[in-house]
Amino acid sequence: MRRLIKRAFLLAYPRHLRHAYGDDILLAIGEDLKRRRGPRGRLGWFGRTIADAAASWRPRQPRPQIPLPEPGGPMSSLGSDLRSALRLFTHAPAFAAGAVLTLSLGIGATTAIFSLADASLLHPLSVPGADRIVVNNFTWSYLDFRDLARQTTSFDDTAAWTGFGGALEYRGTTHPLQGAVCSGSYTRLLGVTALAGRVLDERDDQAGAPLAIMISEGVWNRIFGRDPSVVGSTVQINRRPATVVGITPASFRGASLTLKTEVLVPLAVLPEVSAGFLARPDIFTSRTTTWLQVGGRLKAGTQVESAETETNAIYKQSHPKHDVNNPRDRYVLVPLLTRATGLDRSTDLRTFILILGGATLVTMLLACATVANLLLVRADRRERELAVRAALGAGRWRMARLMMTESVCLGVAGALGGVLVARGALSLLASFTLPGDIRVADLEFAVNRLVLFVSVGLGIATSALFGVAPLWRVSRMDVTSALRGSQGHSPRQPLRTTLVTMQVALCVMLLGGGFAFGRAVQRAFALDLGFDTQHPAIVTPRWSLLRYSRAQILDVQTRTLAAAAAAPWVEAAGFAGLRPLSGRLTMDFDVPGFTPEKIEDSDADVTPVSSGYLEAVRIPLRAGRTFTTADTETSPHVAVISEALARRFWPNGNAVGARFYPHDAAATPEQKAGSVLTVVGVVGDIRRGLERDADPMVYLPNVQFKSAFDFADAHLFVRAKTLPSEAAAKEAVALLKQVDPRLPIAAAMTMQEHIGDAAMVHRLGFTLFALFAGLAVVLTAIGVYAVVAFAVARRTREIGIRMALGARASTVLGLVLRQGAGPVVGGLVLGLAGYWLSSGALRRFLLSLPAFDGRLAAAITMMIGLIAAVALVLPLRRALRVDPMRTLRSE
Amino acid sequence: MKAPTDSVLPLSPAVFHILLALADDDRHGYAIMRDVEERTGGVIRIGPGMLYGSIKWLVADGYLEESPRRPRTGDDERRRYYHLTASGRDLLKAEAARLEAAVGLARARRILPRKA
Repeated sequence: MRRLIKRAFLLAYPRHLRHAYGDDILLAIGEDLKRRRGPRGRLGWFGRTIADAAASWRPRQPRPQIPLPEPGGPMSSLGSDLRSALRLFTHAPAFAAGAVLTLSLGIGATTAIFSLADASLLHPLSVPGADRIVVNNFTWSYLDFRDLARQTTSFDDTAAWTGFGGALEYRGTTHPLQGAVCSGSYTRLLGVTALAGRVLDERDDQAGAPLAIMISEGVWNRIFGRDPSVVGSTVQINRRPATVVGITPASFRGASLTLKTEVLVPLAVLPEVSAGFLARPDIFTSRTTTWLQVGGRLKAGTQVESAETETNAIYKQSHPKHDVNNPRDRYVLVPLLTRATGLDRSTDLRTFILILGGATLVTMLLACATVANLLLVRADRRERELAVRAALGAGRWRMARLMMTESVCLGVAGALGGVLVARGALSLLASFTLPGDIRVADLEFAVNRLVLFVSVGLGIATSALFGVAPLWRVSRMDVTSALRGSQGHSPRQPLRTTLVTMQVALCVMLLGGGFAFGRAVQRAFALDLGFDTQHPAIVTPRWSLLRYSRAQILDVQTRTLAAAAAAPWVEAAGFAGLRPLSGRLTMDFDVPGFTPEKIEDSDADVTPVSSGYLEAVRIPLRAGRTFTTADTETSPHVAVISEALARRFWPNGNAVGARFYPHDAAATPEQKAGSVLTVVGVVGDIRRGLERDADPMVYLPNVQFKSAFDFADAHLFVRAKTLPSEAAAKEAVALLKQVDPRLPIAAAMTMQEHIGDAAMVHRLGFTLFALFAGLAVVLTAIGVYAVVAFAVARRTREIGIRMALGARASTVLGLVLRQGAGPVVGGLVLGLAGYWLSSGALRRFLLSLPAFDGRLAAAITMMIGLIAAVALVLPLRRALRVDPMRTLRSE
Repeated sequence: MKAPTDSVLPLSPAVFHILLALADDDRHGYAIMRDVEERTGGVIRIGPGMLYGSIKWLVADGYLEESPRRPRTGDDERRRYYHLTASGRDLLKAEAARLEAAVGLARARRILPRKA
């Protein structure tokens, strides 16, 4: 390793030297390295060797001392500038390390967050011409999609797709994959290219065609180790042999960010490979089974409105009762990009990303202010050096260039560090989820080059600007007094005070965000959600991997519940198609005697559940009964509803026994009569999301539930009598395995963990704000310290004289405090005002907690007070220890 | 033999100290680096690039020559020793005289105290 490092260093030397003295140089580098111990020594060695290598490029007489203005080409003096600049790292290692680290953190954080913003918000999908692509708001049946594709004159291309869960078997291991089943036109519509092999097309989307699939680059890396021979080979997908015909590039993210697209499967072969709902025999022949997302590319010159009218007209041909004027039925075309970031949450995503972006910018500004401050401090220290250079005849331009080179070196080193920080930040972000259930890991994005350039540019510009500022002063400097080392008044102190005020203000804003999100996370775990948030355990089997039929799944569930009833540790157990707080299934209902004021009023959240579920999660029964094993497929169809829904549909309080119907505009009167639901019970309200109020809920027995919903994903909820919930989760897995040893388990967690997932957005906000605020606190403390320490150093003489004249310690104390108090108090006020103005954006992520209140302000003030106290201790001590006699003697 | 010329003077501190290190004894490259560092209390440090860059032209112009002396056993056999030639010694003297003259000028202007 050492050999390699030394060899690499050797390359930095000019060729003529390497040829003549390569071995000698290697020996010398090696001996020198041996003598340096510890990180500090190594760093020194590193800096010196680089500087030496840079110096050796100059012909003949390299000068290790102050460079004088000299004749010579521009390159040779650039070389010497570079050399002196690099010496900075050895001569002022603390300064250089501080500046580089600050820049790295600022640049890295900015790059990571804005790369995330770019991937999720600005360019969510890499679809060429995405602004011309629209998607229908409701799902379609297969036959209706075919009619639309054939008859449309508004679209150049139409395609249909839906989500698909698959198990890919390769070399004896089963890998669960998410993806899409798609029509042959899908790849053309979304402009999918093949990284290797070819894209799926109409040839593959025909009944009887050999099963062909595309896999994503991520899958290709993860499962196949980028083996090129995978293209054309046969793998097992859901226990069916399929040929991998091509690989989609990492930039392709499917049609929506909420649906990870790791595998593409042609529609026509769907019955062969899917289980549950998608394996229904009527899937291609029914016009009432709607399950496909349908999108199209608008022809040039076609308006969305006319395409929408045409779409509804084509649909109406085979659905005469379709009421195009009824917003509950009308197909509306939504831009693909809006749809891609989640329908109802896209504004949340935008706001959230803007908040993170704002926080990051604030951090970057703070980093720039810190670097500026460091450079100004250094400039003061360098006054003497600059005076020497000026005395020796160095011109202003020459010195400006030297300092500029130094600043740029700092900037470049900061940029390199920034790339590392950005990489680290990306891997930290990868475990989080954005609003709209967009998992950051699924975005599979990398550091955005443009963003990196901009933030590096900002860093370098700051360091260049403030690095050259001292020159300003050199031009008016009294060289003689500077050489003698006497210290006059610094005219630059106001600038630094302003910078520190700004640092404090920015720090206050970050602290505010951190505290606000912190309270929200705390709140998330303390909220009354209407069900037991402490004890239940949740186990999620992956039924689809076994291609079980609906009957088989119900059979396993029934036997599991029987086994649970017999297990002594189980208090209650049940299955539910959805977990509280994640996923939603809403249905429209027709309620006799109820006229909705708004169309949403006839909507309700639906959860298909087995007997025992409501007991297992302790949703309290208010009236009637819950489900029992007596509710079967053949018994009358029943429903349990929440109090909120009972109040809305049956305000007179006679909900139990009432009847209602799932809304279906196309149903005949007989069909409608057959779908009737009778309310048998009313239970307490629950929240479907942490930031939602209690939603009206309908619980339906899963045995009676046959909607277009892949209930194969049912979760098992178990509530143990005495076991802690972690142990209960393990026991519940054992229970399922005992009933069906083959059943793969996707997840086993406690309700607390599940809530933690649901509070992911708040946790992400808290984590980032806490990191930024932590960084800000350190930087601000250093900034305050620097200003006050500098002031004390400059005024040592004054303090000494005052003390000699009989000033008390308290007077000196006041003198010093005044130096620090200005920027701290000013910054606190400015920062609180800034936070108050911008905190409105946070509000919707704070679980209805205020973004700004007295307690928060008090907490921030205390924190800033603490920072100031820590930063002032050292300078205060120094001021109080000034010896008046010594000061006077030196006069 | 070449005479020291104005194109060579003034010597850079690195070259001056390299020549000085070889004034009393032949040394190999790394020993020169150490000698300079120790003698100047670490104020002047010469890296290998600077050292061999200087040695190269000093040898080419005849101020230094490779010494036939070989390392003692145990030392690395690849090491080359350098010897100060007569013209090298002249060069060193010329630079020292130049420095002395410069210091004298500084004294005359009371920049430095006069000799006690």
